[in-house]
Formats: sequence, C-alpha cells, structure tokens
Amino acid sequence: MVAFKEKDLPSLQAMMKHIRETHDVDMIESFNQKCEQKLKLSDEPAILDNGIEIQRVEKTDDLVTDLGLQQCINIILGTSASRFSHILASRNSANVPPTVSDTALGISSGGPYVFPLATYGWIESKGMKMFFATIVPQSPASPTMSIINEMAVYNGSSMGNAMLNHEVFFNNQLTRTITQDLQVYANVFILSCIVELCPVA
Amino acid sequence: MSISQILEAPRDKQTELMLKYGPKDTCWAANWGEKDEPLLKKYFEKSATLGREDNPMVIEFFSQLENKWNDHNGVLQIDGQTFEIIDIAKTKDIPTVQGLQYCCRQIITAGLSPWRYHGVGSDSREARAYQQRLYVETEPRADMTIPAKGSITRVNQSMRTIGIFPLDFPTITVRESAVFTNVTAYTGIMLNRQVFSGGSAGTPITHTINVAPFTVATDINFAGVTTWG
Repeated sequence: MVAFKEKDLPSLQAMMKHIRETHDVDMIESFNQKCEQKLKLSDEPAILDNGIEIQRVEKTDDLVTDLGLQQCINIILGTSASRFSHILASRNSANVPPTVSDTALGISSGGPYVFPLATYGWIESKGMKMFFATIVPQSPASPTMSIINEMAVYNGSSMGNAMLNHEVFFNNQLTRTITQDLQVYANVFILSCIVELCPVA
Repeated sequence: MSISQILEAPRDKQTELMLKYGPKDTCWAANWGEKDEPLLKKYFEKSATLGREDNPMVIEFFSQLENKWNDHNGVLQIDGQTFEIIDIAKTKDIPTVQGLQYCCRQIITAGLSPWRYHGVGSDSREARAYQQRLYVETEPRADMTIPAKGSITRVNQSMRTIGIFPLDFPTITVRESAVFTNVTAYTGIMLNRQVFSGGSAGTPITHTINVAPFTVATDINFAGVTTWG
C-alpha cells in the first residue's frame, strides 16, 4: 500500500491509464522498485519516473488462496473465462492472519470497497509474475476509508467471487485524514500486489 | 552429500528455485494390456461426461497409477470390464520457466492457445527449467481434448493431464514427456519436462508398435510448498 499527496491524483491517473493502454510493464516494475526503496529508506525521498514523490509505503508478504489457485487453473484450462478484475479492500478491527482457505476479507470496521481494475488500476503479467493495482479515490464516501488494512484480488465485484490472494496489514496499516477545506482525503492510496508462480534467479 | 548428488550434473539456479518453490510436477508412464485400448478409450469417453473439475474418474485413474507404483495392482473398471496396468515408471520433475510465463499470460489475457497436447520422446538428459522442447521426440502428440486420446482437467489445486498413446504408436522407450500448445513435434510452448531415467523413477517403459497402448499422466500441483532446511 502506497500513499501520495492529494495533488498527485491526476498524474497517478495518467500513469495508470498509460499502463492500461500500452501494457508498459517496465513502468510497473519501476514503480515497485521505488516502493521498495521508500520502504527501506523511509526518511529519504523516493520519486517515480513521472516526478511524483511517494509519501509512505507499507508491505506484507501474504498468500494465494486455494480457491484463487483453482480459479487460475480453470482459466488456464479454459473451463472458466472469469478473469481477475477487481481489488477489494476493507478495514478489519481484529488481527486475523490470512489462510489459504480464506474466501472473504475481514470487514468488521468497514468495506468491502470495490475497485474495478479496468477503471482504476492495472492488471499485467511479466515473466512468472502477475501485477495488480488500483488507485483508492479521494472522495470520503465512507469515513472508514481513512484506514485500509486488508486487500485482495477477486474475479468480480463482490466477495462471493473467487479471491485470488489475501493481504493483511493489521500492524502496518495506512491512514489518511480528511482536509478541512476541500472535504477530500489528504492522501491518495495505491494498492498494489504481485502474485509470483516461482521466484526468478 | 550423497553419492547420487555427486554424480548428478550441476543444476542451474533457476532449476533449483523451480524445484524448491515452483509448482510440483509428478508424472507416471504406464503400459496397459494388449486388449485394453478400447477400454481405455471408453473410460475417458465416459470421464469426459463428468466435467473438467474434480472429475472422480480422473482421480481414480491417478489413484490406480500410484497403487501400481507402490507394488499393488493398478486396475480400472468400465462397463463391468476390468483392465490393468502392466508396467509403470514415475518421476518428479519440473515446469519450465517458459511454461509458467505462458500460464501467467493465460490468467491475465484472453484468447491464447490452451495446453492441449501430450508429447513423448526417448532422450534421457536431465530436466531443466530453461528447456523448451523434448530432445528426441516421437510423433504424433496426443490431443488431450479428444476423450479417446486423453484428458486435461483440474483436481483441487492441480492440473492433471493424461495422454493416451495407441498400440500403433511407433516403438519407443519413453524417457521424456511434456505438455504442449501445438500439435507438431518440436513446436509450441512446453509447459514442463519429465525424464524417466531409471533409478528412483524406475525402469523406463518400452512400447512396441502394435502390441499394447501406453499412457503418460502428469499432475502439476500449484499449491505453494515451502521446503525447509
């Protein structure tokens, strides 16, 4: 999960659109590298190729679910055409570690918030990795969207669809506040995840 | 270090990573009885009517392969008739880098050719993650989408592929096998490569033309397994 300043939203939307239209996976990898850099050296500025500065990054290494793997195989075999299309996010008040049998996010304090990747994000592959990401909009549709601590990729807009992965940030969640004048959140979030079938040497 | 490790050719880093963290690939090559080809075909024609997810006849087929490998009888039944595995070899090898890259693209992008053909060959060089073809392939490849020629289904987190090679298939000692996207030998994307080189894989099976059919069956398990130590 990555936080940016509110003024950067148009540039971030332009970056997302560019990736969707050109499948510029190098730009995704550059984005991920800058996130890693910010994670390791949090006091030093990390600037994306388009000049936007990352404000904060939080990372977790969680898991792919059994149902998600089954859906992957179904897609590979052609027995299902329902591809992964949405990121769902939520705020959970309990610290529950993810398991391979999970099918839903913890939503005890808010959500699920639904982000279609065709509108807000990217979905690409390179090598043995798949990249998924979305912008979390600024409008304070719900006050609880100020904190997000769970996310997952789904093959539809509801938690009744197949959950590919389950990422939990209970101890390192991102928070943001609403500006007093404009009534929008002071930060824009990007939720990004990578699913890897095998590490690369 | 064991003697077998010393005698093995050194592995590249990507093959080591694939063996340790990649999907687990297990393959059985089996010879069937002289008169079993019609029964094998009938078995998979009936199996095709039960769908391509958690198909009980595919589960039973793999169960019997493992039974035979463990020195029990490997017997199947169809329409009241039984037929039996005569010889079997088993190996645990690896998916290829190119194969998994293609799987990722299939998951993300519509319209790509599916995995469809099972091929066999007679070369015994060890499997590596970077390999892109069988080395001494014998045609024709088995089209697993035709029920009388094989089956390609999902069981839990595994992709299970079965190629049926009829009794008129050319004479061969089956030392290598793989799953492909194309029908022609030495073409298409290769998902995995398995080698039956003797030793822990048992003696490779030998097929003689016009004697009996054989099958090659693969289980690629995508569930993540962490190897410690």
